[in-house]
Amino acid sequence: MTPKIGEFEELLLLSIASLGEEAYGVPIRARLEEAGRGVSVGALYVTLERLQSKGLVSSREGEATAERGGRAKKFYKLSGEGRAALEEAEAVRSRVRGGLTLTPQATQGGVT
Amino acid sequence: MTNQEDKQLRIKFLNLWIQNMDNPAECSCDECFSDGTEEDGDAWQCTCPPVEFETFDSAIFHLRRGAGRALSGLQFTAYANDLARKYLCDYEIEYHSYRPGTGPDKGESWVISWQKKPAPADAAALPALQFPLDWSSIKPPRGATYLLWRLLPDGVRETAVGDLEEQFHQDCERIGAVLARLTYCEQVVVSLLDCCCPAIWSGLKRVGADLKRFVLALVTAALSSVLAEHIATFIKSLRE
Repeated sequence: MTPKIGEFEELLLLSIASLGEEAYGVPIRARLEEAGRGVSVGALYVTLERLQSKGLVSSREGEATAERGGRAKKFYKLSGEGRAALEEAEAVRSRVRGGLTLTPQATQGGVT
Repeated sequence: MTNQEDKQLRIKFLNLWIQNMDNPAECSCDECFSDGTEEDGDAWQCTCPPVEFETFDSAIFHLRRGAGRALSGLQFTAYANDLARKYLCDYEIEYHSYRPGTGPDKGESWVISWQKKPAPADAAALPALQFPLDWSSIKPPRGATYLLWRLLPDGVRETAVGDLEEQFHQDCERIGAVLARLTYCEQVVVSLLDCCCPAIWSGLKRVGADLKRFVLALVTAALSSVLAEHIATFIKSLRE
């Protein structure tokens, strides 16, 4: 059974999937910030650890660079279960949405 | 002249200088520091606004640290050496560190001559102009890093601190060291709140539950002792 994921976890998984091989903390945060969902580095890593413990992402150590104070990067990759969890979350959304389509008018109170 | 007026005049002066650095021969006025000649030999009509610099020495200009921040195209914390590297490397520049009250300006300043250098820049004489600023030598605030290191969970502290430091160096290039340090500290505080608040809250809840159990046990014990006393008194009265 696919583990259930929250909204922020879903966003993180999507960011990791879209960044591909270059998914580590800094670009993930940048991607979320661009999307209007800024997050602190602490919250990001706590969530990533949780996703890893659920088996939704896997990680590998990257190279240590001087600009990181000699600390290694940690690259994340979506696992098969992670992909399934994303698909499940999307399916749940579409089932809840049903035939509803939000239009610009709908945001002002109308729904078509 | 007030300090503010003096500062504004310096900025105006510097802006004019820099605007004309790309092609100094286009203007013959003193403010543009050109030699007043054109390739075809015609007289050049100066279009620069008239600016008076009576307060300055006619030959040198004292540029304080941080002057670059007033100019567009430079980082907020650009120092005089950034400015010099970018625009003024063909001019005579000397670095002076004045002790308070001993120089025209307190503290450090660059003295830029209007005269062009006769020879290419000498690396030994002008080291600050030859080497770019090494941002990696600028470290994020130690206290904040220590706090983050101590309080983050084991598995994430190494990468989280590394990420913050990488971000710090990118911010240094983008917004300058001062703002980068502030952003770093802000990130540390927000991270600690994000990571520690749930732990503190669950800890409080745990303590709260234990406290509730303890109080209940205490009340029960007190009530039972009171009840036992009453029962004993009742039995005694029955016997009598």
